[in-house]
Amino acid sequence: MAGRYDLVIIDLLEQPQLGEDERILATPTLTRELPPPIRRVIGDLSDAQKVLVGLDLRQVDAQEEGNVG
Amino acid sequence: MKPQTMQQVAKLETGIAGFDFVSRGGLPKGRTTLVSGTAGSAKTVFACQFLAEGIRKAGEHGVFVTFEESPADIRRNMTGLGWPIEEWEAQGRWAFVDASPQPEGETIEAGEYDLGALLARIEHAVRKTDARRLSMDSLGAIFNQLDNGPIVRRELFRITAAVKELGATTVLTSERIDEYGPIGRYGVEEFVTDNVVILRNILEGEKRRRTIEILKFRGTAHQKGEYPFTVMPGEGLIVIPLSAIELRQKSSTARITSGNSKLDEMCGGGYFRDSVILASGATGNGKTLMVTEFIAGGAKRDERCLLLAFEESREQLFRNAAGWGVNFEQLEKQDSLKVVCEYPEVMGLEDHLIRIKDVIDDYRPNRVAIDSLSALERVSSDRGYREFVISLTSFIKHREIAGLFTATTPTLLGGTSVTEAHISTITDSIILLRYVETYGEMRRGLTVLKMRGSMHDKQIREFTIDGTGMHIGEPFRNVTGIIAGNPIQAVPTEIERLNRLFAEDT
Repeated sequence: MAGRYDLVIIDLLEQPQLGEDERILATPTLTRELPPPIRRVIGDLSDAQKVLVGLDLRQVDAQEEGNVG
Repeated sequence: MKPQTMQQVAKLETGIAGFDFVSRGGLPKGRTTLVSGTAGSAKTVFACQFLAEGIRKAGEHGVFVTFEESPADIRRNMTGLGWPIEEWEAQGRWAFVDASPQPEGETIEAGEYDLGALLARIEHAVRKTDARRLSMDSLGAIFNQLDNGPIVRRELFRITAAVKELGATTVLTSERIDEYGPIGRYGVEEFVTDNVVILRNILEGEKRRRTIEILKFRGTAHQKGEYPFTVMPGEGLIVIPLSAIELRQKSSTARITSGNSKLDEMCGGGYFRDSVILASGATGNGKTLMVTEFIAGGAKRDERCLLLAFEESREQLFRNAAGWGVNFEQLEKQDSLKVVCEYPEVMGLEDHLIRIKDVIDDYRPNRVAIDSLSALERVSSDRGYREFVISLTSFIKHREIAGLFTATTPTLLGGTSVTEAHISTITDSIILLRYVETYGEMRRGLTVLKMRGSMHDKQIREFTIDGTGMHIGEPFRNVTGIIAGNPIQAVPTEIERLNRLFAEDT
């Protein structure tokens, strides 16, 4: 992944309008904007498996894919 | 706790018609009030109107946090109620915080989180618009968006606490499943706020009836029990404070004519100027004629008359009146009469009540006739009808208007109607019109049953109707049981015998 991503960190307490525009509810929220569709992962990312599935960065077997929807 | 501070809960006038009366001054200022109700109980309308009235009537800005409908939907839905939300947004008087579910993209939860982002957005919007009012609609929808119930619960406590610090008065809506069950679905609702208002949309005898109840206002007074309300296009929610009505109306000793000199005589010189008269009788018994004469009598003395008809069309009424020598068309032209005809089924009773009040306030009549009040019975439940009658009567008395209501009895001979049962104690006068069957002939009888604060004729008199109106004649001397609906002819010899009996006694 090194060099193949562009990450921006936003403090919503300082820039609440951005939170409004992006319609963020929970903190922390990780949003993957590209490639579409937009995917969001909320929480402290302590569950690495779920994060990878959520960002669609990992091959999953058919059953798991069904669960994630 | 500290009684001194308990006394000092200030209220913020919401501007919602009738609600400020029921709540004795509005919502507790700077606090959060939970508005709970089933689906379709007008929670969102309440939440929007709370902000809209603030903008329109008090110049106070508002923030609307939506968890359910999108801002676009709310803007569109509320246009019908006459609130130009988009315009207000452009002027910086209204701001949305959009926390509605997003159709695009997908969200998963991985680990611990809080709703700090939402709180930051709310605080930002409140500061940006300098909002004094905040609405959050509706609580349950956020539980549907996030999986972790315990976190959401904890965070809602945090948000309501933080919102208190902002100094804005807050309305938080929440859905419930049963009309008379628990306050909310998620078990947090009662604990996150000190004040609870319940909206109900009850199905009663196939008719929907909306009511509002203030369940608790911590540390401050409010009216108790359910009050009916309605949602009117162009106005929004209107609460009808029924049992809060005070018996405070003035009482006049001035008399006005009933439009029939003989009837005036029977009433001891006419009706009182601010009294409500109920005329009850079977169909075709002369009630509409009484109304017509009441109006003609008023118009002759340059009084303004309002006729609300729920049984007949304009054309029918005008034709009937002409048949009795009264020209309604002419009276309307000289602005001493306004005729409003409406089919009872076109709207609910609460809406009728508000319409009638509007017409009265707009036209400012001296006399109001309703023909017939009992026609409205069929569009409502018994309870709703009773409340309607009481509310309308009290409204008319407060305006010091003379009111003549007619009620149709269900049976041809005698009997009483539901209307009479509800209204008889609050009307000042009751006039009964009855059919009297004698020797194969239907004759008509009339009696003044009650005339509050005045002497009146107690006889049951016969009357006839012709092209010039109602003619009241002599009492029925030889018939008994007319009012009971069981007329019995007494033969002259029997009367003579009875007379002699009394003569012997004395």
